[in-house]
Amino acid sequence: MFDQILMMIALGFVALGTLLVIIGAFGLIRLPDVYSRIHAAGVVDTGGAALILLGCVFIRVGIW
Amino acid sequence: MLLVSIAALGVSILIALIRVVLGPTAFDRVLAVNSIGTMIILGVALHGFIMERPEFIDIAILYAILNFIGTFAVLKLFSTGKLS
Repeated sequence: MFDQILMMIALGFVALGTLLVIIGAFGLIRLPDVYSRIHAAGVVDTGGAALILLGCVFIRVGIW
Repeated sequence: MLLVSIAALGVSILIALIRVVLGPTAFDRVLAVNSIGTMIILGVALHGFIMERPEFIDIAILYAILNFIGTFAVLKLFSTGKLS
């Protein structure tokens, strides 16, 4: 029961991080300026990476 | 579910690779290569957790360090023309 709740939390974090990575990649190709593209790459580097690795932390806690 | 996330990361890598190919300036290419490095780090970490071997997170950290140092080396090469 508790393991399933942790796995659901982890999958939610991983899905949200994947969504931010996709948004950042589309911004990297759609935005018109160099500085705007730096903003899109910052979305990938902070939001996507932090949320996916936090999801990995919750998967690890569920394995324990 | 995690395999879907890895597939989405692969599609994102391909989209960023388009910006590497047709970026107008060199800074766009450096930025897109840095983003591809971050996506590959996330893919390596998720692969380790899918295969139930979380030690792959060490390889992901090593790749993050190489990505950081490589980006700064390329930018220093652009700025000064040499690396020494």
